[in-house]
Amino acid sequence: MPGKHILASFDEALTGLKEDVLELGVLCRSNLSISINALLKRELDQVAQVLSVQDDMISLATRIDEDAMNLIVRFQPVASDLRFVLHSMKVAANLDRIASHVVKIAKRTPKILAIAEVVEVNLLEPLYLRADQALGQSIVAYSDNNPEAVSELSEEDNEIDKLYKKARKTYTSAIEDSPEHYKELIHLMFVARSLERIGDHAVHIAEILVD
Amino acid sequence: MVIEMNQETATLGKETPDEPVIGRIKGKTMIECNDVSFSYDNGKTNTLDHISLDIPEKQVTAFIGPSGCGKSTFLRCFNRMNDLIDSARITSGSINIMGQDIHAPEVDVIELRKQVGMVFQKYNPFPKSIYENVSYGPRIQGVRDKKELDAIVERSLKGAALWDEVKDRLNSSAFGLSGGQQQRLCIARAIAVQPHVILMDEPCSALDPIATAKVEELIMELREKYTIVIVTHSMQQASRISDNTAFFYLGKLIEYDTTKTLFSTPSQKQTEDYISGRFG
Amino acid sequence: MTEEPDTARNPDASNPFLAHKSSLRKVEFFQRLVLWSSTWFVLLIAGIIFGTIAVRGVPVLMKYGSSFLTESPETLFVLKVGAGKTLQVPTEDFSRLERSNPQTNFKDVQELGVERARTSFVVPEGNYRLKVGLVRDLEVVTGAKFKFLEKHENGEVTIEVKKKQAGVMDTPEFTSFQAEAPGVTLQNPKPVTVIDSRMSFALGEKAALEMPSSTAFTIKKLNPEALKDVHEETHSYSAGGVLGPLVGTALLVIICMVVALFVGVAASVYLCEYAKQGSFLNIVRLAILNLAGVPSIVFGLFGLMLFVFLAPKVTNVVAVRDAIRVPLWPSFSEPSVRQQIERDILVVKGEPVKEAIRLANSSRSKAVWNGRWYLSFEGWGTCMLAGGFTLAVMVLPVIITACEESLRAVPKGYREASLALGATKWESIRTAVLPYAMPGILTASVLGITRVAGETAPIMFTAALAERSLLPWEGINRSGLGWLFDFLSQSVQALPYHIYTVAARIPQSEYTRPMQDGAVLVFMLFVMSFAGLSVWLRVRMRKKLKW
Repeated sequence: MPGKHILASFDEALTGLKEDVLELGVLCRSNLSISINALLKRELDQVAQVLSVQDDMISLATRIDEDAMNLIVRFQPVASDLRFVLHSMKVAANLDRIASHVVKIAKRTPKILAIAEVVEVNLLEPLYLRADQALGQSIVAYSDNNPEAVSELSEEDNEIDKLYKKARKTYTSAIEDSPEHYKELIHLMFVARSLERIGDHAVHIAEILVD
Repeated sequence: MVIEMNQETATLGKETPDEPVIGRIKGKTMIECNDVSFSYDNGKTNTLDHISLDIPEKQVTAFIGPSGCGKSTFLRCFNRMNDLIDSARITSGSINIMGQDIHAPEVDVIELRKQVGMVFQKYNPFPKSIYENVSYGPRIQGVRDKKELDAIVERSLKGAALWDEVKDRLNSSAFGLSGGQQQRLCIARAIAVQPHVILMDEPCSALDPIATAKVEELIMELREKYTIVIVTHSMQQASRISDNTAFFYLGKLIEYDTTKTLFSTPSQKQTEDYISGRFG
Repeated sequence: MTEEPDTARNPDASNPFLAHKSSLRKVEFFQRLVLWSSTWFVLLIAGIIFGTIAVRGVPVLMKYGSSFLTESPETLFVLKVGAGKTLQVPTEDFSRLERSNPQTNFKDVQELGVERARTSFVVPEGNYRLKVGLVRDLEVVTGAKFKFLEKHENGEVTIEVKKKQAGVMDTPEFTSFQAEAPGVTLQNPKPVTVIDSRMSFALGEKAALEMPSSTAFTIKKLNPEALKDVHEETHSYSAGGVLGPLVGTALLVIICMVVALFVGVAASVYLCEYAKQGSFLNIVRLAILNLAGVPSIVFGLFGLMLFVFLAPKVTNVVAVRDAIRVPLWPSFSEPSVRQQIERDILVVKGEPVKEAIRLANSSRSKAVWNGRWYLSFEGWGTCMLAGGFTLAVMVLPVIITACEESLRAVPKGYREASLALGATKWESIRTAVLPYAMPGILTASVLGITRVAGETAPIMFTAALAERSLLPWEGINRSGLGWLFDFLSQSVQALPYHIYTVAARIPQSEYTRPMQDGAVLVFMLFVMSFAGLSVWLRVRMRKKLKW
């Protein structure tokens, strides 16, 4: 935000809010990365790490909400400050949904790893990379308060959707071809779906920034 | 840069003004200011710098800005209270109220002040009874009939939302009222002469929050019959009760727009900085 | 709790608010001491002054009672009367004697009724010529006023008796009157006997009897043989009371107050509200303040020059003195013959003023009428008007300063609120500023006025007489507006001047000193009542205005 407020605590509160949201975003991204890597590389112990911080992510999201409310009550922000606070709340809500998807992936991964590996798992990688990139871009867009990012992110999302549809088709036909692997393939489909939803949420984040 | 306001949205560019800002309004205008400059020291320095804006009829217009920006000075130009200071004068431009230039030689200042009333920051009821305070204005104007004065007093006190609280102690001292009641008494005193315009110079700054709220509610009611111009330090107050807001800084008019627009999407960076508390 | 025993044994342990002994506190203590002792010093001095006045004055008032306040100053006679002689006096004089001589042993006090031969008569209608003094006597005994028709050279005057008048005189006077005024035939002389109530008494032992001069004359007239060789002393101003000076001072103060308040308030309203502030105005204020530093004797001389000798008056009867005179419209009514005689006016119709004055001078008149009204700058003479104006000028700086301060103390908000309601400047001053400045103005004014009430020098030259037997409203022979003019041109006695006279200008004796003390006490009471009045007024006004 341009210029410092006379009331230093106002600036500190705004900065703190932003940092929290960014932290939540970073947490989502890193945990997503850990989960997917664990899935792709078949390393179970990494998953435990993600599950251990899931409460932290939820409580961070809740804290962001509370802090935003307190900021409004205490400082009665107007104009761009008010817009920033409202954006932060909505972005945090979306990140919260993303986080729950990350957790779902993490919870599903042990189940997947318990079963034998399937070659279709590799379809997840490009999907994940796109989703991760979209998420990263949306966080940067929030950080820069850049409403222009929406167009780029919509395109990304389209790509993600395409990849998802392709993966789904591949998985459904794979189930038809080799029904004995249905359990794993269904899990993989859910994971793909989570990644697609993450992409959607990233676009929503960018859309929030457009007044 | 000319701002056209049609009372719903403003079409504004986001430029910083090098030329003076001009605010024109569609609809009936009560006060029209054209390129007004004002000085306290016979023209050596200008306290107000080329201000043009229109105040619409029967609405509440708020003047906001940091201390010393000239908003109170500007307000006092409307009823020529600045005439009391010898070296103060308008150095350029004109102020028209109801179409008449108020500095024209044929204008009687006394008549002007009867039609453009003022409520001050520090409430100052006379040390007389409540009745005598409210009837002071009409008495000065020559109303002598007791029945008529009674009616005027009742009407004014009702208009100031004070009647129920004081109707059975009209002859007691005005100083026996609380601060908020005294300020409402001053408002009743001002509307007893039935002005067209009421100027209010920070009327709530000396009051506690409840009294402030009551006065604000009163202002919302008075809007139906009187044009109100209010100078306020509180932006929350301006955003609560005013229809239009003008932001002044260092004697210049920076922005003038509907309140909704000015507080949510101001066009000038200075305005934004001021209302967000970034300076001033 | 375990801490309490500690604080009991060692109070310093847990008390963070202990007083620190510092030199600053010692200084504080001494400052308070200085302030306290200054106050008590003032109270002590005041107590000494008031106490002395009271101690010396109260016995005088006790001795004379209310007569001290209700009788004018008179000369005291002290007659050393031997024992045994029987004396006669009228009853009221006897009660005066008793009151003034409480120690004396009055023996054989008897009430007497003494016959007095009087004659009643009737004055018939007609015109008569007789001496002026006899006319006055006739007016007194008949209670009528006769119109003077014509003035004659040898002090005689022709009067007109329109309606017949009845009167009664003591028989000896009646006889002498008839002898001196043969032209007046008094009809129907009838003897009337009147019984005067008298008291006869004798003294048990030789005593010095004190009595006022009126009683002394009476007692000597009634007892010529008994008092033929009696030793008498006279002491001026030592009998009677201070009524004359008290009334005179009161009148002077009233005139002073009216003039000073009007001029002072008007001037300060102008200075404070209307005039342009700047260096010129500061010079004006400085000049006004300097007026307060002028010695009072200079005010006296100034008043003498300005009000007594040079003040303007609109008159058709011009004093015999050179002065600037602006002729106005012609006068159509000559002064009546009575006026001419009483005021010593020469009537010369049609003569130019200078000639008229020369004629009046040669005929030793005091004033001249020449058929024209003039604006004459001949002064008002020594009178209460001149004295009042002089005192007013003396007190003006105080009033103007006090008034300006009071006006400035009224918050600006009242003026602004009033103006914002559409009042003109004068209206807002009159209704929204002056009423609230009034308590301050009145307080300071009354205190200033009580100060000038005690000034001797200014009134010495302009108003005061040492001795005057009539009160100012007695003895005026005109009516209506003329009465007012004559009233205002009276000279008056004044208390401070009286005190000065009694203390410094007459030989001192044991009889004059109590009169001083009594007069001083009365004056102090007068001043105190004014100060009390100002406090009461201020309290009343403050309450009414609910400051």
